Amino acid sequence: MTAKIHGAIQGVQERMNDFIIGHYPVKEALLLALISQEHLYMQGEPGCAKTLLAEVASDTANLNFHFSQLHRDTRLTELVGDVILEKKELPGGKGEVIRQKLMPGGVLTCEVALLDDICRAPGEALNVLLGILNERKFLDLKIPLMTAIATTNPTEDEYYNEPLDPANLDRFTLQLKTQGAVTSSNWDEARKILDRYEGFPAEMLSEGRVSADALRDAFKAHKKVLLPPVVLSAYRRILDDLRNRFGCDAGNSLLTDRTMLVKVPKLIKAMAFLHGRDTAETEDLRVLKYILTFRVPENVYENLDQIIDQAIEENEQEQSDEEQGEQMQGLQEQEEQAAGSEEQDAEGEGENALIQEILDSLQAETQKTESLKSVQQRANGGDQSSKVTRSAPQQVENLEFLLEKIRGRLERNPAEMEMHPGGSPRSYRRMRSFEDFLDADYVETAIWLDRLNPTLPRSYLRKKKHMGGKVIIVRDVSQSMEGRYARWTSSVVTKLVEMVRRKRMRVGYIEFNHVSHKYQHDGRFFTRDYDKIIDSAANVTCSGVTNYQYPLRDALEEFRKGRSENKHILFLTDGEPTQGDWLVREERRQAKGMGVAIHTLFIGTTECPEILDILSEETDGSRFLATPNDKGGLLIEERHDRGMMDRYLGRPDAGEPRRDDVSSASRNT
Amino acid sequence: MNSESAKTIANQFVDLRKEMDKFVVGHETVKTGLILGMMSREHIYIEGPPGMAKTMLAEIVAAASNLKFYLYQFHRDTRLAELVGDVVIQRERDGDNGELIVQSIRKGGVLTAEICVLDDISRAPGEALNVLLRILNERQFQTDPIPLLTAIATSNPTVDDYYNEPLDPANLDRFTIQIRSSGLIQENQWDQVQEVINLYSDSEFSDEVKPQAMLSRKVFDNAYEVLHKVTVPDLVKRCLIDLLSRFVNQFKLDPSNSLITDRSFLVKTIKVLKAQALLSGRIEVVPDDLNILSFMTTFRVPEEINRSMPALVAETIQRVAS
Repeated sequence: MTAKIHGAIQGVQERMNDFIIGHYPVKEALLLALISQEHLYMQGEPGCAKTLLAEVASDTANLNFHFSQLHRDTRLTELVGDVILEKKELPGGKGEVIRQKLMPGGVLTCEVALLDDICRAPGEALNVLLGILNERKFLDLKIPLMTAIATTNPTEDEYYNEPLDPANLDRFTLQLKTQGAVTSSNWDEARKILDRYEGFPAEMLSEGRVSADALRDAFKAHKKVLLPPVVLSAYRRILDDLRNRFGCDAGNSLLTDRTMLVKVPKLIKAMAFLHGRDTAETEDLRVLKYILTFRVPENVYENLDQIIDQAIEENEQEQSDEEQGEQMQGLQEQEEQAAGSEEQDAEGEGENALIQEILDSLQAETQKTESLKSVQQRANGGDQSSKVTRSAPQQVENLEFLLEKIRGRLERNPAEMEMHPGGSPRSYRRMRSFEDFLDADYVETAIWLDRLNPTLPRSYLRKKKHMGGKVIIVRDVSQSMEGRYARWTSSVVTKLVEMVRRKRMRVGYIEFNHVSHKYQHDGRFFTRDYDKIIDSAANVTCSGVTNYQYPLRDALEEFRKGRSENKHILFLTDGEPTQGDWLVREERRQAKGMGVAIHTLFIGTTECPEILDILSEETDGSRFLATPNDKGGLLIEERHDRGMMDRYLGRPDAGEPRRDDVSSASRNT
Repeated sequence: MNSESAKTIANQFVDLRKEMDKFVVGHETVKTGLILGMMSREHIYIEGPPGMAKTMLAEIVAAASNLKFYLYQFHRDTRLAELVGDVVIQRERDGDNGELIVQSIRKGGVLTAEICVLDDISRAPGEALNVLLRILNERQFQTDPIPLLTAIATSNPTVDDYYNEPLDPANLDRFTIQIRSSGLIQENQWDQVQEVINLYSDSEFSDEVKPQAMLSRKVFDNAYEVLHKVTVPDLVKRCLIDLLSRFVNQFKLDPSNSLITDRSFLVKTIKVLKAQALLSGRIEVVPDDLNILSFMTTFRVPEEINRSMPALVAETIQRVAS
């Protein structure tokens, strides 16, 4: 029988190779998913055969297959079946009971479900679906689903999709990223694809399919694979390393007990089974590369191979050093016993015992290493696994505080979501006109049409992500900014851009000295290409003198071109203007008129120029002051002193006359 | 198959071209792109400012092709149902259990047309468009195949002045042929400007554009069949791979700045190359046909690289051939 199963698996493999060149990791992951009956999540750029691979695999496996292309308006019923209305006359003419029931279909009746473009559907519809995937039952109905394969494009803004939240992502035990042959510079494969598709291949034919039973048998058979102690202890070591050496915690990773303790042992077995072994080897731990893809930080994932190598090696050494035999012996017996029994329950117990074992030893290890870890961390001055890629922002003290303040300001005006007739259906609302019938809940509509009554059916409340406002970062690059100031400012700009990225706002970048330089990307000033801006900000040369007028004029001009509601300028400088109108009166007037908020950050030891206060105060922006601290870094503080402003503006409560000297100074230039 | 049938097909499409010339002056790139797309059954995306005859050209080509035609004007509230037909609520007695209620689609629109014009596609909110993905790529709706040959989408440039959103890359990649165009006045084509003025001031000229229906589904089916048999010599393939490797290695194109997918550049290119050969009455692709890549790189690579495509192609051919 084993031969038959392996023959079937090979059949699927061959057929996938027939249709798709390359993509070996995807093919392996698909087979693992079918054998272990776990769900698979695949992320990749358009046109790299994601969907085709999934289709071929499930077609070949000859399983009952359901395809759904998810989209903005995906309704739950499209995925799980149709609604049945049950009507019952109450005796004695007391009325009629109408009950909604579901006739299972779609995901509830298939064995393999392909959820194409999963991130396009609104999260609200997905939650129920993913719950079903996890429990493999709907209400009390157990469903025949073996594997759900989800595909998605990269979860970036330009694809208009919504990344799965971590809880949902965790339902997909197997996860991987795919790439096309061209973008991964695999020219041999590219050439093969050219040749393969030159004659437009024929439609998928029924031949070459394998027996569906073989794969069901594979599921039963793979559970009997033995997990020797050496594999388990090596796995435990990897988990320990991830947690303690590489700092994978709840904040940056998704290492749930469900996945890491319950699912992974199953997949190690599946991996061994796929490679024709009935006992797992430490090599099978490589299956982790299909599991940790989106569960640990990217830099940790990139080094996964070394992490596994190292853990295996260290584990072997320790095994030979220490006598752990007896303890593990018992475990193995338990395992064998479980494997030997066909009973599901016994097997579950066996697995539970395994998990408990891993848990216990992990706990012991953690306690041991806890103190060690803190020492190590102190020595390293922080989390050693986090890479510092760009200029070092830790030199700037209180930067978070500044970001927090400005974030608050950026958030005040726009709602993240706005009502929009073209948005995603987020919840229900009452119909306002008969036109809404087109978008109303169809079951309620059907009932309503039967019995007209004053309560109209529910219609969808559609919301759309706000386009976000716009931010222009205006940065002084005059001579005096050379050196430390430039580096600090670069790190401030980097952080600001990253924050703006999270708010999905478009951003423009201007550098100025006695002239102003607007950065354009593809002929556009405002961009969501945040990395480009960060790169520009990292490479500055400082020279010249300071003129506030030009950059502000440029910034306002750019705002005038668009129609954004939420407009901010972040103005970073270290000096008073030495050219042009010192008081930038015209620009201030315009900024006020257009509702542009100008936030200012003055860097330096000298007194902050009044004009910055005036700019912020008049346009309702925030004001910050950054001074070098004694540690060689930069300290940021918010400026609250309003006295000067009040005096300047001649507010009655200031008690002093207007400061005419400031205006006269500007008149002279 | 012989080169005779290739010549016949080429002539049929030359007639189509002439019909377009009758009503629209200039815009050679758009016209060529439309014909290549129709021939190879690939989708076409045309981006340009208002009033430069985008929609008109698409409509002319549709009418002259004599195919089942559907035009949809996108708008802010565009919903799936409008594109694919009408929403029907189906109600059936289901024995004693009760009544089965199904919301289904009575097919229409894109699902029944052979050629469709998706006008102002970027007016629809980006989120709404992905139902098109599978329809365009697999030519399938749910599990049923659809008769669609080519979809022609038009759009205004996606800048702030227009209330539109750029197509997302997954959708954009479904449009194999991509054309950027602008009006004759902006392009400084003063001879052609004069021609248009003459044409439209001619008292004999009727405002009504009524192209002659000259081709038929049969012509397209035949052309597509012959297209399969056009051969692609090894040299052309090597040139293509060489060019793609320069994109990635020399110009550092990657998913963050470009959209170089296997589907478009390894699978679809071949079809368009064949169409170009057939259009010139040949049954073999020649290296110079690689110039059609300019129709594919338009919105897939940074603008400056797209502009230098003709030079790049020429250079690559020379290098690989020697």
